[in-house]
Amino acid sequence: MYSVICKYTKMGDLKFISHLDILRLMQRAVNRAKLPAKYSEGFNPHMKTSFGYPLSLGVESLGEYFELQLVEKVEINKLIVDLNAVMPNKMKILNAVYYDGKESLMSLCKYAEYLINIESTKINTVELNKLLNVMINEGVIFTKEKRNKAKKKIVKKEINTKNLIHFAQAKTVNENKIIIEVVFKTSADGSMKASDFIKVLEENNIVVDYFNALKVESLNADLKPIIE
Amino acid sequence: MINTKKLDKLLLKAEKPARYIGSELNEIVKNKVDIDVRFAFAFPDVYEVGMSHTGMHILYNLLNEQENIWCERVFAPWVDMENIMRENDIPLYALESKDELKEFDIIGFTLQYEMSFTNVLNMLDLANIPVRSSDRDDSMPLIIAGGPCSSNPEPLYNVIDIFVMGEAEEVILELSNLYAEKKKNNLTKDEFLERACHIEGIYVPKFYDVVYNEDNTIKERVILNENAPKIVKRRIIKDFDNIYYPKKMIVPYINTVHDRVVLEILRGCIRGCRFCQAGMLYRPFREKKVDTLVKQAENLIDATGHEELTLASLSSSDHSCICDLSTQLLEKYEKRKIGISLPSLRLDSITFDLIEKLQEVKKSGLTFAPEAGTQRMRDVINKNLTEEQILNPVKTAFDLGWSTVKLYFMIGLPTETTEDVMAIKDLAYKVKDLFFDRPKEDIKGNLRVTVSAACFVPKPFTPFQWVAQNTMEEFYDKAKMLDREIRDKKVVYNYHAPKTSYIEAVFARGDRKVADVLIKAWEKGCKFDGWNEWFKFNTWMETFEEIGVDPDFYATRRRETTENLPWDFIDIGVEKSFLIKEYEQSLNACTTPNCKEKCSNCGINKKKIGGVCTRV
Repeated sequence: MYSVICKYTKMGDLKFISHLDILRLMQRAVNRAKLPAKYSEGFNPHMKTSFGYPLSLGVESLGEYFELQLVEKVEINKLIVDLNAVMPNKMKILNAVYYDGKESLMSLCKYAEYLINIESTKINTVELNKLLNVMINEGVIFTKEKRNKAKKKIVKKEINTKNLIHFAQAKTVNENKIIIEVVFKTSADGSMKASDFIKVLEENNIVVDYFNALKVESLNADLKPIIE
Repeated sequence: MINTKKLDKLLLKAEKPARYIGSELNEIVKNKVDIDVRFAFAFPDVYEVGMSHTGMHILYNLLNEQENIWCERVFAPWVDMENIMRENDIPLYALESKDELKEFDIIGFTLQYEMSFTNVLNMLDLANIPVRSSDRDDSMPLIIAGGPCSSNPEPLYNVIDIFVMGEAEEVILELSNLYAEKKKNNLTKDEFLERACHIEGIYVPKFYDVVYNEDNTIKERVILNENAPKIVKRRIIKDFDNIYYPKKMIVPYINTVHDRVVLEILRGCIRGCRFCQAGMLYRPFREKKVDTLVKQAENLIDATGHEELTLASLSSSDHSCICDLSTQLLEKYEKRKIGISLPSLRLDSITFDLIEKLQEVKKSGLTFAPEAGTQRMRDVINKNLTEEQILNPVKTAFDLGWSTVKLYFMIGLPTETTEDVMAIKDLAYKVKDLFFDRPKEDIKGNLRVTVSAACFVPKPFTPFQWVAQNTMEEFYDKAKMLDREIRDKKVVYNYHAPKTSYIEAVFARGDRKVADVLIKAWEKGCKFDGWNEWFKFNTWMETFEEIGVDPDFYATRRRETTENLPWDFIDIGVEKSFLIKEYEQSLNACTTPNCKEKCSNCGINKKKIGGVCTRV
C-alpha cells in the first residue's frame, strides 16, 4: 500500500462547496482518473482518503491537502496530470508526494496562512496593527456561539485570541483597502476562522464594510508548506 | 449578467449555496456571440431534485451538441434563497452564464408532477416575466413545457405558450431550429406560433377555445386559428436503440436525490397496470441493445466518476437481455467498486439470482410494490401478481440475509372495500411471520418492514381516468384504520397526506377553469406544494371558493365514458376504446395479459405513429 499527499487549490465558486462535498468530489476525480485506489473492506467499501483541517465555507484556498492510499505505485507526474485532466476548472493539483511518515495529515498541519482583504473607509492601519499585536501578545477575549447538536442548544464559549494567532500584520493597499497577512495556529483543540478574526476586529471598533479571505498555505511545525 | 459580486456576498446566508453556483464538472459554457438560440431548461423544484432527473441531462446535452444553441439550467430556489433574491433585487438566473432568464429566447419547463405547477409561476415571477402568456409581449422569452403532466396541459393553458407532447428528443430540435429562423427573419411571436403548430407534437393553447355545457362538462373545443390541428399527436421515437444519449453528465457537488449514472435501458412497459399513466403514455415498449448500453455505461462512468450505475426503466426485468446486460456490467465494474442497481424489478427466481449477485458489491434494502392487499384488488388494477409471487421472493431474501423490506401500497383504488384495505395489514404481517417462522439459527438481523400507503390519484390516459377519487374523509378513514390496526414494533406504517393527493387529482384531470385557481393560489403564497412544510391546503380551498370552482367536480366525480374529457384532443397512440375496455374489465376484476404474452390491441401498433410494437 502506498500513501500519497496531494496539494490542491479551491478557487472561485468552489468556495461554496462544503468540506464533506469536497471529499466526494475528490473520490470521484480519483475514479475518473482511474487511479488504483485502495478501498476499505465491508458491505459498503469506501475509498481510503483523509483530509486536512476543514476550510470554512466562503474561503478560497491555494494550499489544501488530501491524502490518498493506492494499491500500486503510480509515477507522480502522471498522477498529477491524470487528476488535473478530470478536475473542475477551479480546482488544480499543484503537487503530490509519496509519504511514508506516521503522522496523519491532520496532525502535520500546525498553522494556516491567510490573506484577508478588507474594504473600509474608516480603518487606520497603524491602529489596526496595534490591535493585532495585542491580540497576539496579551490576548483579546471573544465569545463564540456553538450549536450543540445533541442538546439542540446554543452554547456560548469564551475564547482568547492569544493562543490562536501566530502572526498578523496589516498593510494599506489604497485608501479603502487593507490587506492582512495572518497565520493562525491549528490544533485539534480548536483554531480560528477568518470570520471569527473579523468579528474580533469589529468588536474592537474596527469598521469592516466587506472582507474576503484567501487561504494561502497549510504549514507544518517548522512553518513550511506541507509540500512545496 | 446579474450582479455576481452582490450574489457572492449573499450566498453564504443561504442554506446549501452550492445549489446556486453552477460550475460543476461537465457543465457546458459557450460564447454568447456564436449562439442563435439561448435555451433555459427549467426544473420547477430544487436543485437536488432537478439534477436527479435523467430527462434533463439528456435534453441539456442534446441541445448543447447543436453549435448554435446554448442550453443552460435553472431550478426553483429554495424559500430562503428566494427571499434573499427578492430582498436584494436579484432576478432568477441560469446557472451557466448567470444571465437573467429574461435574456433567454426559450424557457422550457419540465412538468413531472402536478404539485410543482405553482413553482412554474413562481420561477417566471422571480425572473420578472409575467405569468400569463397574454401579458407577455414579443420581447419576452417563449415559454414552453413538456413532460408527463403536459399530457393534460389545460390547467396551464394561459401560462405556457407552447406544449411539447411526448418524447422530446426530436421535436425540441425542430422547434429550436424554427426559433432560430424566426429570429433571423424577424417574425413576430404569433407568426412563429402559427408555424410551430405544424410541427407534430406541438400544442399552442391560444389557438383553441373551449365551450362548456351547463353542468360544467365540456361541450366542444373550438379551433381559433385555421393552421392549428384538431388533434395533437404525442411524439414517439422510432429508433430507440439509436436515440441520442449523452456521453457525459453534470456531476453535482452536493448530494442529490440520485447521485449516480442512470442508464435508460428501455422505454414503455408491457405490463398495463390500470392506474399507471407512464405505462400508457410511453407505449410502445422499446429496448436498447446490450452493446449500446454497455458502451453508454462506459462513457458515463468515465466522464462522471460515479460509484453507482442504475439501470432505469418502468420495469427493468422486462428487458429481454437483462441478465446478460447486468452480468456484463457487473464483471466489468466489480473491481472498480462500482455498484449496479436495478430498481423496478419484478422479483422472480431469475432476477433474484441476479440481484443477489449485484448485492455482493453493495448491499441495500429491498423494495416490493404489491400496490394492493387482496388478489381481487390486484386483479382490478391488473397488477398481475399473486400473493405467492410476492411472498416467495421475500422468503428467499430473508434466507439470504436481508432484514429490511419496504412494501408500497395504494389506498382508494376503484371498487376498494374495507376488507381490501385491511388486507394490507395482513400481507405485512405475513411478511413478518415469514421472517420469524424460520429456524432460530437462521434468523439474523433486526427485521424492519416498512409499509407505505399512497392515496390513489386517477390520471388522464389511464383506464381509471373516469373514476371518482376517494373523498378525503374516505382516505383518512382508511389510512387511520391501518394506523390503528398495525400494532407491531417490527412493522412501520406511514401514509401520504390525502390533502395533497386531492389537490393533485384536481390538477391531473383539470380543464381550463382550474387555471385561474392555480394563479390565484400562487399569488396567495402557494409554492413547493409537494413539500409538506410548504403545502397550504387551506389557502387552496379558499381559492377554489373565491374563484368559484368546485374541486370535487374534478377529483371525486365519476365521469361517463361518453363525456368529453379535457385532454381528448391529444392522441397518445393508445386508443380511447382500449382504455374503456380496460376500465370495464377492471370493474369485473378481469385481468389482461401483458404485451409479451398476448397483444391486447391498445392501438399503438395499429397507428404506427412511432413504429410498430416490437414485442407483439
